[in-house]
Amino acid sequence: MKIAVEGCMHGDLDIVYQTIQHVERLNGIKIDLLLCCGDFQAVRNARDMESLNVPPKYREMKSFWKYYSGQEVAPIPTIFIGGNHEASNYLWELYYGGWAAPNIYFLGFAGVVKFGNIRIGGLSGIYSARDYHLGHHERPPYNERTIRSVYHVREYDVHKLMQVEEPIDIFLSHDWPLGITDCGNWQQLVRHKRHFENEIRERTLGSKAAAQLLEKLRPPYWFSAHLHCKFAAVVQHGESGPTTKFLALDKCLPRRKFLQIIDIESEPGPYEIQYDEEWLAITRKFNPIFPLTFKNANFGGTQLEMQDCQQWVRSRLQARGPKPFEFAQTVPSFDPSQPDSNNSYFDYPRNPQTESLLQLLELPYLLDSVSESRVPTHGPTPLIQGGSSVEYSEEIPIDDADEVEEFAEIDDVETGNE
Amino acid sequence: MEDSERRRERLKAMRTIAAQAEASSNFENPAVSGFLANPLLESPAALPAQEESRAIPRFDFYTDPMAAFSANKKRSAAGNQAQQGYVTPTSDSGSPMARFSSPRPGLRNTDMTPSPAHQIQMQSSYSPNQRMYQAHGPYDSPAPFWSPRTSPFPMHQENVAGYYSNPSDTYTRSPYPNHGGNPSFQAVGSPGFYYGQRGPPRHGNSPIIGSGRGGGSPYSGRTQGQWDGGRRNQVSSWSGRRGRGFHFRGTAPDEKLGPEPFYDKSMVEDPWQNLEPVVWRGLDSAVNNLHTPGSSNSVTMKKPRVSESSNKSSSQQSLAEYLAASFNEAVKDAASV
Repeated sequence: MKIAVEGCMHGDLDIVYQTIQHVERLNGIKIDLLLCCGDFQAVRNARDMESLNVPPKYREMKSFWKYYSGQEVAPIPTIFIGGNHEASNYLWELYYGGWAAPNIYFLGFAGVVKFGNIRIGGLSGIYSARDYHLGHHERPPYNERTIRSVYHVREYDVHKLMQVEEPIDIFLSHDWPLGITDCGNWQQLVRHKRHFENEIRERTLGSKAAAQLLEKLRPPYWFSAHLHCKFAAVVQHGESGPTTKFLALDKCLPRRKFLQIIDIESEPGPYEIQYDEEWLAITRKFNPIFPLTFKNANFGGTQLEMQDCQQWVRSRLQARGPKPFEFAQTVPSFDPSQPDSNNSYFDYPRNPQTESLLQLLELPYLLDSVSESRVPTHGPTPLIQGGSSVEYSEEIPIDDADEVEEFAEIDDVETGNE
Repeated sequence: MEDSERRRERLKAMRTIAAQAEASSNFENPAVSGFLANPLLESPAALPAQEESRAIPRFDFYTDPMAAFSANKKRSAAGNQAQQGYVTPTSDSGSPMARFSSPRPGLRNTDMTPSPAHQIQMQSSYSPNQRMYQAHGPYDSPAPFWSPRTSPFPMHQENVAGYYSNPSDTYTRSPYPNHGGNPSFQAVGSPGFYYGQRGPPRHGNSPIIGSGRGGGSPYSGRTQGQWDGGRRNQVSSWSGRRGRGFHFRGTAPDEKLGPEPFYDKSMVEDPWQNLEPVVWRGLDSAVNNLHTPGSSNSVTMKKPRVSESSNKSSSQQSLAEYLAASFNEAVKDAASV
């Protein structure tokens, strides 16, 4: 199985797919799957742009809406995780994972799926110690605070992933596991990214949560993005343990290393994305303690036994089949001929894929429950006009072709390690 | 008091000395010219850009006194790097994409059952993973499993009843064509997308949904539709409400270049081919440096004070560095008052 891995998408689906097809032609190969490591920017219309945390100059309707609308179809199955530049309202609809567009599957805030017999896990967002132990209190429409915290990794999701016992083949995280630079040529890295040096030396570059998962899951492959550069490492777990091949990739720009093709031995195709039995069992077990306010989950409050959950899920999947519920549009797509027509709805709908999955698992729908962040005392505040006072301190500059600008802006970057 | 002409000459001489010092340093490792190229990270094609960046002569001595020390440290670090054996330059850049095998055959996750990719690493004789699921029922009919009575959790039936009242009809109408071998995707209900249980749009025209590559949609497949692809639009219909407009351009400038400028042959080469596994140090040492809620988050906790750092690294720190660090520490302390 040949898998294309891409760093940060930033909405440039057209170019990435064209490049993949170019790779196929040049090398006479067929690529079976595209994995994207975040900042996908699944912006469907103007309304979604309100949930995308980017500086005003980068607030651009890229190409995802064409795939959402059906005008274009992803030429190969695509799986992505979220980063820190996302239409967070849409990803929240698909918290448990689902088709963001035909042939484009969002792995969820945390998730595991199967593609053929390859098991792929992922964690969306970036790590921030400040928000890590909070619940998912954010709801759209986001204010200037929640638009930046909604994509911060939560302990609840990491805890769920830490329950995975069956081997994961590939894992995706947007930011790098903390300490991963020890296992690669970090000296080379800091020549190009001078501003990383202090954080590397102090071992603060990267995500603590991702590092915990790396230690626990020990997948053969781990892919990341976020820092807009290519970096490879090989981790050996223990003196005689297994190894993890880590690769971080850049964003899609000319002459940048944003794409990598890997070849993994697998069963013969055709392949398709399927629900993962163990992950659905974990979802069923932990959904009752889903933290929907500022308060963290009560991890001791789960009453179901994992073994029972897995057996229960197995019977459901055997009856229904493992294929995810089908894509469904929930809001109108951007229409370039009528750019003003996209504000003709107000509410944030439930996604039928999510509802169907929860129905399958006999779980209640909780994603639109009222959160503390919506009560008047903590209610949404209007976004600052023009965004000039909005801090983008977690930003890896999207347009960093101008390295000088990057270095200037990077001073304010918190790469998820507060 | 020297005049400006003399000072210029003196500085020029210092530049020359500095350049010679750099050249001398580079001579010790002619392959890298003061810069260790890493074939693991960058393809040869990318090297010219790197060369360009480091071709800029660095003259640190009077612009920033500390830079002189940092330059020395960098040279030292480069030496250390070579000693650590991270980099093994290779000229083999033309190899076709190969199947990536583990640099450590025989390793395995001792407490896990093998899965396909693990097996690749292990290069063992485990049988293929058999965890494939068999479909025994209809994919799109969740109704058989909708049994609130048996659910251990409170169900929000009032919220979903409308939607699930006829679940078998839920996914049957689609504005999409069936796209060949890909999974068939269907949108929910008429007129083409799903509004959730809260009903259709409350005002405005019917939304326009692309109806694939035929039909009467304003889109016509890959022809970019009816808009001016090259014109950059500033859409501000809702910016009055939010003050957050956005840009739209039908075709991104980069896209017009075609895929060639985006392609790099390293994309099909093994990025790990020259890397040796490094034993994972674990989180314990790193976690101590992290700020966690509830703990002190002061700068002084995250970064050791001068006295501490000087004790730890007195053998490596010069007097100038120590004085500079002391000065910075004093400034920070003053600012935090």
